[in-house]
Amino acid sequence: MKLFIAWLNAKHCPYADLRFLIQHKDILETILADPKHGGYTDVLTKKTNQAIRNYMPDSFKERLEKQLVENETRILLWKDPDYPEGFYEVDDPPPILYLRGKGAFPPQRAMAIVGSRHVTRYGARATERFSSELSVEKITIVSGFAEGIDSIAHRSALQVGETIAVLGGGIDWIYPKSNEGLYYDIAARGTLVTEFPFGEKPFGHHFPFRNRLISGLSEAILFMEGTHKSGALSTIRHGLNQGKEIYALPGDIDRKNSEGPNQLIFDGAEPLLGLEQILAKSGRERTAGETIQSNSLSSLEKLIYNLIAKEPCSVQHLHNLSNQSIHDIVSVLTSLELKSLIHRQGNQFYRTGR
Amino acid sequence: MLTIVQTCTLIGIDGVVIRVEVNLSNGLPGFSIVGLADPSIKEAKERVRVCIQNSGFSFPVKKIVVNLAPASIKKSGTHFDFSIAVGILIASEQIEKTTPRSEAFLGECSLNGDIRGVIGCLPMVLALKSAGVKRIFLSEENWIECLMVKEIELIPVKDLTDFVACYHNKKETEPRSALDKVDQIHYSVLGDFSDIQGQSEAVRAMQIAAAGRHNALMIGGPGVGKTMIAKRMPTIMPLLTEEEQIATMKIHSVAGMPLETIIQGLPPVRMPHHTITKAALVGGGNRVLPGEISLAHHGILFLDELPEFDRHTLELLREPIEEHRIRIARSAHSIEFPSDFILIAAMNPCPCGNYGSKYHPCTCSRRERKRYLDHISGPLRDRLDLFIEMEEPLYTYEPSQKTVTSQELRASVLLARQHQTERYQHEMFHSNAELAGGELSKYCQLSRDSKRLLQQANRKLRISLRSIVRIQRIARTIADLDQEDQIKEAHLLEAIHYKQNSSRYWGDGE
Repeated sequence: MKLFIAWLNAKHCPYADLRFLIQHKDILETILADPKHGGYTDVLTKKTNQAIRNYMPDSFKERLEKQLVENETRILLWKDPDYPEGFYEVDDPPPILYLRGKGAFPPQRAMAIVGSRHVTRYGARATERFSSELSVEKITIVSGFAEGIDSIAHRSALQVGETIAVLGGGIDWIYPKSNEGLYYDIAARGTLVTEFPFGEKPFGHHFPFRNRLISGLSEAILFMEGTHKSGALSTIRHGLNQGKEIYALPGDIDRKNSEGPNQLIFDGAEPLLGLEQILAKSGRERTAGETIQSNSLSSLEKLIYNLIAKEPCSVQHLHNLSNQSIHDIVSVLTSLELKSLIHRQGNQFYRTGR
Repeated sequence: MLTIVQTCTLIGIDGVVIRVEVNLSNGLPGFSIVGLADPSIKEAKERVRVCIQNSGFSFPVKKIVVNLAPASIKKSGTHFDFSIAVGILIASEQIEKTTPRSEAFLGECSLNGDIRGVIGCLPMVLALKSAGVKRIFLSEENWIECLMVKEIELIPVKDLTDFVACYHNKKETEPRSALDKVDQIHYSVLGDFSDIQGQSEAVRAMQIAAAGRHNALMIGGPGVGKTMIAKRMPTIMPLLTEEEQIATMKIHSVAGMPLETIIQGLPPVRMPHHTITKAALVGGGNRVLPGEISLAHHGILFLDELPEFDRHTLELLREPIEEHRIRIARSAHSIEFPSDFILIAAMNPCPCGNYGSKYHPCTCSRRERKRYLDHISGPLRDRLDLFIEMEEPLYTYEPSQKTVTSQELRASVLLARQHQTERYQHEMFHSNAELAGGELSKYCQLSRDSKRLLQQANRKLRISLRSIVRIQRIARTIADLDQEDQIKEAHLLEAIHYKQNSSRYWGDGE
């Protein structure tokens, strides 16, 4: 059944038809038993009827099965137990989802971080900060896998927790190409999701459309940067329709990239001021930055751990901050790593979120 | 009339004593040289003739035959000139014959009568000394490099007239005071480790490398200071011992390289460019010459942009790293050059150099990165003990105060080396980097806790068994730097840190 729905999806049949078929399993079974019969014109569109009459060629089935294995992809249908609650609320919910990655799906709690492809240093820094701080709080970061804000949000989130990328093309299309490394990193520790069939090119019109899913997955949307024409604003619009909390990063009034968020604040969005504020809205308190007092650690281990808990540090940075000799720092880092209290990403050491 | 004088020739980096037989006879005037002489010696005819004439002597109008014995060895080089000229002068009775068996001559004749310096003088002097020669006349230019050799009279001559004066003891030779000139060590020309901003981790790793003679790889983007660090390595290494100094100078002398820093006792640093050919790296050529790995003997071989080197060229390093020597085989004979060096390599984290950078995005695809990293084969990586990932330093208004000077670093390196020399005095090797198999378990005994730690590292940080051997070696060196006989947990933890970087890049789960 999954494969058949995927076939109809590949033939671009309207989502409503697919949802109808998933809902009415009896009809679907009759069709599967005798596809040539046809004649569902009253309930299904002409396009779907035609696709049903052609049925699913074996070659397609084989190819799809191979693609699923090669891309380590699984299929999720509308009404499946794992189908995210939030998606029932969006316009024209996708009847089928293609998922890749080892992360949890649907996420327990998720927030979206969106913004333009062109970033300023300010935007990049703020994105990094909120993405990793929210990740420490066990909130999954959802974004659109584009260059700029999206990539920074995904990357920073991966260093501490999980992230979900909602793609604008088939799962086998790595777009933009420069994010290839990120794609596999997310596949290893997060989730890539798309409503588009295999081989579907990432057409421009797909992106605003899939934006409803980014907002659908999230309880809040953080808009970091973008002009007043930014594509990310469509995510905000979807979010407003779905009743999500909207935050916008306040910026300089003469910074073009802050036009979007500043206008949103004017229109009534919450200015994004800090993690505490977001957490307070959802009735929680900050856990990050907490210092550790455990007796199982030596005093030096505690010192280093607490420095890393405050902000991610490199060896050199720790050396400068702590006044300890480099060899003591290095051995303490390995020891903390063995205790799974910290982990390393590139040059930086991060506190492991628990 | 027949005269025999002595000189020397080179095979590889060793000298072989050559007897120059000069015979003057009546007959049609002529000059011929026999004894497997190559064109550089054949040309000696013209140089010698003019040199003798321009020095105020007469060139005999006789049939002159010069034989270079043993005639079965192929000879090349210009240092035969001097001995041929002397042979002719003696044979034509223009100068007196003294004690030919205990004398030798090394130098090239110039047309104005000067005696010029030659390549490979030091190994030839050493060979002549062991053959029982007591007095060697050589060019002034070669004098200083040979002063290391004791118990032999070295007489520097400027030109042929000067030589005749010395030969007849009419001129006093200067005492060995020339050596005093080079006694001062000029570390300042090499720079100092305190010049390096940040990068304390890499500096520490270099100290470990110098202390235990470990090979190291620095990974970092452009401009993080990899080359700067490598250039300063000799300033934290112990000075060469006299034995090491002679071994290194022999190679440099044969290759015609400047010897100043080695005479001062500083270990050599060789930094070949990545376009280097195989022969230039390991040695070879028509006349077999030592390559960069031999020139780095007892010193540092620094390979910048490691993945840019030709893959096959890099693979040639595997044998010399293990064996500390390279054997270059030719159909007729094979030549062995020593090559006991510390390999310091550097590379970018990816082709664009920005992978892992906080400030610049990396534009390489996964495949491009993999291809780049794959240039360094597993076996070669295996021979590298320390992996250091370097972070881009940020510009600060005030230079950071946390720098260490080379002198401070060198002090503990010296102590650590001393520890090793004492510990391994009854062994075939003398540094921690060479520990393997039985010796490893003998000299790197671990406490129960330490063993548990390694087990944890193996499971949790996915460190391979093979890497654990390396970790023990590095830990041994770190303990030596701390003046500890027993390897402690802290030493192992630090060692794990430097090895772990390798698995993060290459993910070798071997």
